[in-house]
Amino acid sequence: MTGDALNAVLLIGKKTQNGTWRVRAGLMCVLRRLIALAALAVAFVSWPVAAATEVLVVIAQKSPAYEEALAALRTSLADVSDNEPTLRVMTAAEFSNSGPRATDQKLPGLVVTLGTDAAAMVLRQKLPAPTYCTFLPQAAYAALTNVSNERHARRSALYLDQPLIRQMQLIRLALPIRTRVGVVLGPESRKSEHNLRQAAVSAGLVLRIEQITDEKHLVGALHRVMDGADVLLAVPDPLVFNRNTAQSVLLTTYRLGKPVVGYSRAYVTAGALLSVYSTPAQIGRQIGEELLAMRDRSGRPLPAPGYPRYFSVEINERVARSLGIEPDQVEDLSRRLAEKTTGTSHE
Amino acid sequence: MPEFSTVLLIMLQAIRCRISQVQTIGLLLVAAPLSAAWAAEPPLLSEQEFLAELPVVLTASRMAQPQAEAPAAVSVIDRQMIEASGARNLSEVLRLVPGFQVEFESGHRHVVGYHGLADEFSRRLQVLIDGRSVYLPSFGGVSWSDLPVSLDDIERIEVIRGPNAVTYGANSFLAVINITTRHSAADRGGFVRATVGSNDIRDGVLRVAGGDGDVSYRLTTGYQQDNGYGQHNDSRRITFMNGRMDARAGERDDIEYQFGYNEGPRGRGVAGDPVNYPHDQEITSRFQQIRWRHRLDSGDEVAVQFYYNHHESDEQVLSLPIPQLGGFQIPVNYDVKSERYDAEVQHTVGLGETLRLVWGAGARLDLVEWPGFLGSAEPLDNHYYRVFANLEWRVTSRLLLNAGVMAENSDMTGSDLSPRLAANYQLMPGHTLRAGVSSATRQPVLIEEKGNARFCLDPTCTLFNQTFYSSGNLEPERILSSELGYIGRLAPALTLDLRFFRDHVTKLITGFDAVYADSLDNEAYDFRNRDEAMITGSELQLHWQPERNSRVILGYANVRIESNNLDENYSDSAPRNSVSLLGLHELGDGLLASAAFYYQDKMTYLGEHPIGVLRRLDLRLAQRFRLADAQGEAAIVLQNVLGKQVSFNEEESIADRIGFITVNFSFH
Repeated sequence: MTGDALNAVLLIGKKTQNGTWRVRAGLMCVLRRLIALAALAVAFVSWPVAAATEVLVVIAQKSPAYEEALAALRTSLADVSDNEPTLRVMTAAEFSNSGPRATDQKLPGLVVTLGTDAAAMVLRQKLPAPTYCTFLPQAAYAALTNVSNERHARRSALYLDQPLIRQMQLIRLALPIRTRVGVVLGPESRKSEHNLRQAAVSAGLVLRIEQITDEKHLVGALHRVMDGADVLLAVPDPLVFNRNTAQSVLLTTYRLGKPVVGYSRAYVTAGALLSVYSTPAQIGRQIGEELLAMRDRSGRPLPAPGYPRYFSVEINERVARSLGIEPDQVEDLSRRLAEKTTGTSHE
Repeated sequence: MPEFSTVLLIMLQAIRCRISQVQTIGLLLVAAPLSAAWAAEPPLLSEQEFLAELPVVLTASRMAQPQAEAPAAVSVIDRQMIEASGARNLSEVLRLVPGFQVEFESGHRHVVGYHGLADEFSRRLQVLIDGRSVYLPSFGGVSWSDLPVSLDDIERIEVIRGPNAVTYGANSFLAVINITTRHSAADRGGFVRATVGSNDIRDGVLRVAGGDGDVSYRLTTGYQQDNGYGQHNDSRRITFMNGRMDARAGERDDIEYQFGYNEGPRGRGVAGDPVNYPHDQEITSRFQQIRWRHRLDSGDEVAVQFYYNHHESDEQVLSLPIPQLGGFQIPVNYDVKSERYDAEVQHTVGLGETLRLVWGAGARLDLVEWPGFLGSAEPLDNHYYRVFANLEWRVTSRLLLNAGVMAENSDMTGSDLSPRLAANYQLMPGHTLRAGVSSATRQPVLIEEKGNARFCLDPTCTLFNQTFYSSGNLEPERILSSELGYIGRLAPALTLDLRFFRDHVTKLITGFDAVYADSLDNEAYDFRNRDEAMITGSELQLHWQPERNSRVILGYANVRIESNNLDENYSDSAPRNSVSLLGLHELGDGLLASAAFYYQDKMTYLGEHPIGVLRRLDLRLAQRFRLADAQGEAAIVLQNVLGKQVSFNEEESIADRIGFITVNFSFH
């Protein structure tokens, strides 16, 4: 709850534009800050006093993406030579067999998880050690933490997905004349409808939404939503956007002469016009930086749950040319996008 | 013993799995009323959604090539233009392309010509549907009414103005019409259309489509009828069906399978003609096609395609009693059956960042059984082989070069080479100049090379008359086309495609009346390569989208043909000036209005009477609506609003106003 509250403080602080709203939001902010502070105090007291020198990193499995993130994490830690945290890496399976338990005497100073499964596995153990869940979608973290009721200052998250405002700003920058954004939501992504609407408004875009509950209604929904939209924004949802539906989504929108903005590199390869996403290395780098920041303010809690600071933009030039779109150079787009969404940068 | 422990682990997991199944079943039994809530719990969104590889959907072959990068002038007719044009027939849509003329010789014989040189069979254009040539090896040209394709299933039509043998093979001569149908995954659910109009127009289309991520299919069936011009026996009744299946076999392989079928009677004949009196010909046309695409690690692609076309026209008549022969009725056999087997393999190779090579080879067998006109009860065949290669070199970010060649060999004409060279230079973003030289051949068709039409008095064939007798030894026709083009974005919503061309066509195969002693009038029709023509002129296409809801597409062509006109009057076979103008506007609330206007100067189709200036106006008003879960559209179309005019031939083809109403529903 505290983590969410902190997040809400940030969101409300940024997004409100209307004067009366701001006052009410301000009051809410004060209230939420108080709750947050109270939670922080609790956390401070209950944390193991020992500095977080040993960090346990739990990854879902040994695969190139996690290795890439780990390598970047190690590099960013190695940049500072003295007193760097020591990393112990185990897979989720190893953690389940031989990982620390809540009753253990000696616990790692911090547990960092990479991926949804690793986060689910570690959070289930309810370790008293602080847990930093990274490399997972915001929706997964929200779902994981809603079903548990332990104290929140002991865990936080670094999401893998991009803040919606960043995606909306990308559309604004890359496709200035395409101001009507279509979105098809499924059971999972439906939860972000409110945030989508807010992000669209603040980017000056018009949003059209269709909802489906069955994959077989996808093509119909695409036709309906794109009838009044100039670009399709893909929002992760296992029912709407997956390996099986990519074909229908990309062919249908291409046929209508309208581009797709995706959320992964693979989407661009498959035929989306562009994507903004964070690579495993970019996430790894930020984890490293957060660890160092935690060490420097030793004893202080984890950062608030947040979205990646580093991101990449990828454009499918062939698709762009075929649709008669002439977007800016990728470097230029990324730079301008970073300027628009403060506190972030691209590589 | 690691193996042992692995086995043990698997066994343990299996047991655990069984236990959990038992538990689940138990729970389901206990908590049956709650099971809905249970099932609604979705799995957590995983990072895999962001990391997973996806199959490449929009491959280069599935996308329209940007016009500024094409090595030739390309006009694209998209879905919206097809609908807005008000066309009921595929052929009519081509009026929107600069330099094209579309007229009906009869209600079911549509003549599509580009830069003239066309008679009722228009043999100098290549037409492909999803990479399958529908050029008939018997008459030559395309029988537009017999194609088993619905206008509703077409995604877009790309017209390459100019020869393009390197990419599209033999007979890609004056132009290439490349029709692409929709991928079956882009359709889901049902679609119905019903059309009713004047001139006995009654059409219906029914489509179902479905599938999952890996396999999708579409099945379309339909019926089309009208009374042609209404003045003659040129009606048609068309029943067609076609299907398409797209299957994905793993991340790298795609298989596309199609079949189609078109049949029905077409009215023929003229009242008063003792042989060709009013009667029906029965058409059967069908095809099967399969294509396999395999993507290699490097991003390269190998595609293998095979197709089979079958076209049959059953038309046997007994002449009316001939008084000079004591009332004898001459049997006339117009039956013709043509088959084409075609196989092709194509390999697209990326050679570094800037070079792309497309090369391949094909083989084809044509079989034509046409006893009445080829003088043989057995089918005549022709083997044809080709190899081709095109190298695309992005010299700098601004300069793109294309160099290609096709080599072909045919039983009839031996070997030939058709090279091409083109350069596209971007002056500044949005402004590209193109210069190119391209060549192609047109292979003679069997009637030209081996025509032999005898009318007999008895089974042993006592000769009554000989109307065709080809002396053979024809060479292919050749075209050498040079062009200079400009593609520019003059304003954010205004693009211009301008082209100046000079086509030198030599060895034109032309029919002429040769001396033939045994025929009634001492003449029989023969073919030879004597004529040549120089076609020069310019074309432009303007595309203007003043606002989101409106489009205007203007086409203009100026064509001048100079010819020795030895066997045929080629010089007058194209209008000097022609214009097409399509405007469409969405009025809001689902109401769409569009108008198409066409103008052409006087011209004369080869072997026909001259036709005067043509002005044609087509109007369409459509209303989209939602009915429960279905999306619908009702439209009223008025064609040739300006009234009666001579269309193809002064005597036989007077086009009149036509009106029809068409309603369609999509159920997703």
